[in-house]
Amino acid sequence: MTRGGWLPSPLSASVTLVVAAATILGFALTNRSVASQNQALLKSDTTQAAEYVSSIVTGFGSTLEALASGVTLSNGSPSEFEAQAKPLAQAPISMILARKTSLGYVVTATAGTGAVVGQTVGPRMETTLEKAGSTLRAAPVRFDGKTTTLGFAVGPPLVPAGLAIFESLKISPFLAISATQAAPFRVLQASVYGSRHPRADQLVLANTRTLPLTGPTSEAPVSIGSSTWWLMASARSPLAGGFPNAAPYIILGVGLLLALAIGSTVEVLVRRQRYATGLVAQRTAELDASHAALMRHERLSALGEMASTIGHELRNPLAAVINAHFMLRHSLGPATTPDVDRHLVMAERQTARAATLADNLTTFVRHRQPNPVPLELAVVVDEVLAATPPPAGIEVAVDVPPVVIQADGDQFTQVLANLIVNGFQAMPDGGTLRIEASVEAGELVLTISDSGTGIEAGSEDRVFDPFFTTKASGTGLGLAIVSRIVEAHGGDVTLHNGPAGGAVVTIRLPVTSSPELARR
Amino acid sequence: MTAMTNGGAGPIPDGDQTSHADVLVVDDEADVRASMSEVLRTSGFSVDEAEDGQVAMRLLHERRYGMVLLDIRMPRVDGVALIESVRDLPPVVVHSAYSLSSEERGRLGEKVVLYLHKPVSPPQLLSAVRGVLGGGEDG
Repeated sequence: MTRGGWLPSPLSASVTLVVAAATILGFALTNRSVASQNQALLKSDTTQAAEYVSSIVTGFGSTLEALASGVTLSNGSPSEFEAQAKPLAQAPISMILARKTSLGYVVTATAGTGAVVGQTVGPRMETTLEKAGSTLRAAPVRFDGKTTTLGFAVGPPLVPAGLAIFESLKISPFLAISATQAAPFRVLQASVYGSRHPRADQLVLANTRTLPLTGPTSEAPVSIGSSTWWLMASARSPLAGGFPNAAPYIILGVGLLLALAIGSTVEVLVRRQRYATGLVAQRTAELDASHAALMRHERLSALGEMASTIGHELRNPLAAVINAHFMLRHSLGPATTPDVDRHLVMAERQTARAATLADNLTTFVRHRQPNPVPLELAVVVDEVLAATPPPAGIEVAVDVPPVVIQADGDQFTQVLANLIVNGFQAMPDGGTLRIEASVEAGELVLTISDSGTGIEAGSEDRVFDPFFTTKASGTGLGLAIVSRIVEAHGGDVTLHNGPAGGAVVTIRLPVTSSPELARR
Repeated sequence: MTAMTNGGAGPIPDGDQTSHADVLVVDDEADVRASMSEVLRTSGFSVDEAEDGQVAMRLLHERRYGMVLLDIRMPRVDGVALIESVRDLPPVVVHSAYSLSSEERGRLGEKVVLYLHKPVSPPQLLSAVRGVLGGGEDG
C-alpha cells in the first residue's frame, strides 16, 4: 500500500489553496466596499459638522452688523459706539472701531480690554480691516498652545467709508467644542483650523487632544463670511455599523474554515481512493497468483490424468513382453548363442526400464495420503544407501543427528532414494554426495548436495514440474514425486546450486508436533 | 499330479464338477492371458483361461480350481463383480494394472490372498502361484 504520510495530496492542497484564495479575495473586496461606505459616511458627517461650525460663527456676523448700523446712524461717533459695544464686550470679547488715516488704521473707540484709543493697529489686524466689507471677515487665527485668538471684521458699506469694526476674542479650542454635542460631533473626532492644512498654530476648535488625526480622515470647508476655515474629521467608530464592518472578517474566518474543511474532506477522499486503489492492486495480484496456482494445478491434473492412463496402459503390454522374454529363454534353452543372449539381455533391460517408468507414473499420480509414523532419520538414510549403493568413484558423507521425524515410511524412503540416485547420476565422473540434517526452530532441515555441475540457471522452480528433466534418460518424475510427498507432509523442498557449483536440495519438515498434513 | 493341459479355446467338460485344474487365468488382454498361461503351463501347472468375468463364472461353475489369477478391469463382468457374486470361490490372486484402493480391498476381504501389480516377472508370478497352491507343482 502506498501511504502519503503527513503530506497532503496535491489535489487537496490545491483545493484548499483555491478556496482560501477565493476567501481572501472576497475579504478584500468586501473590506474595500465597507471602507468606501465608511468614507462616504465620514464625508457626509464632516460636511454636516462644517456647516454647523459655520452657522455658529456666522452668529458673530449679526452682532457686528447691529453695531455697524449704530455706527452708521451716529455717523461714526466713538462715544455712541462705546455705549453700544460695552454690553457685548464681556471678556474675552473686545470691540474696536478704527478709522483709516494716512498712517494706517487708528483706534477711535474701544470696548473691552486690549486696545487703546489713538493707537495704530498692527499689521495683521490692518490686513483684515483693509479687506473688511459687508460680509464678515475673519482675521488670521493664532493658537499659542492653550488659547486661540480669533478676530472678525466688517467694513463699508455697512459703516461709513474709512471706518471698520473689529471684534476679537480668545477661546480654549478644546473646551469650546466639547460643549457642542451636536449630532455629527458625537461620532467624529473633529478639529477646525484657520488654514487649509492642519497647522498646529492655526487650531480653532477640537474635540480631541490627539492631533493631528490619524487613519481615514475627511475634510470640509467652513465658510466664515468671505473667509474659509477647514474642518478635519475621522470616525470614532466605523460609521457603517458593527455588522457591515465585521462582515469581511466573518467572510475571511468562515472561508478559511471552509477551505480547511473542504481540503480535509478531499484529502480523506483522496486517501480513501488511494487506499482502495492499493487494495484493488493487492487483490488483483493475489487473484493473479491464485489464478496462476490454479492453472498450474489444472495443468498438473491434466498431466496426471495422462500419466495415469499411459502408466496403466503400458502395464499390460509390458506384462506380455516380460512373459514373452521368459518363454523365449525357456524355448531356446541351451541352444542360445552369445549374440541372441546379448539381444535378449538388452530387451529385458529396456523392458525393466519401461516398467520403472510405469511405476513412476503410477506413483506420481497415486494420491495416497501419508501415514506418518515416528522414523529415525539416520536409520532411513542407512537403509536407502544400502539399497542403492554409490557407484564407483562416488563417496557418500552422512552427517545426520539422532532425530525422530513423523513421516510415511514408504514415501519418505522414496524421497531419499530419488534424491540420492539423482545425486549419483549428477556425478558421472565421481565426486562426493553429502547428506546433512539439522533441527532449526522446530523444523528438520535436510540437505542433499552433490559435487556435479549443478542445474542450469533459471530452472530452479521448474525442476519440480512433472516431466521436466535435464537428463538424457530421465523420466522427469523423480523430483515431482519428491515435491508432492514433501508437500503432503506439510514441508517444502527447494533446489539451488551450492557455492561449489553442485546442486543442493533442501527439505524442510516440521518435527516438533505431528505434521499437519496438507490435503492433496 | 498330472498336469492337465487345456487350451483356452479347448473343450471344457460340461458339468463335470469332479474335473479339476490348478489355475484359472482371467484376463481380457489376449496376449497377457496367453503368455501368463504358457509360463504357468511350462512350469507344470494345469491352466484354464477366461477372457472376462462372465466366462470365468461359467468355468467356475463347471470345474474346480486350485486358485484364480484374476484381472480386475474387464468388459461385461469385472473382477470385483466376479468375487462378490461367486460363492465357494477358490483363493484369488489379483493381477491388475490398477492398484485397488484400501476400501475396495476391504470389500473383497479374505477371498483375495494376494495382490500383484502388473507387470510381474515370471519368477515372481510362479512363486506367488506356488505359495497359494502349496508349492507342489514344479516344471
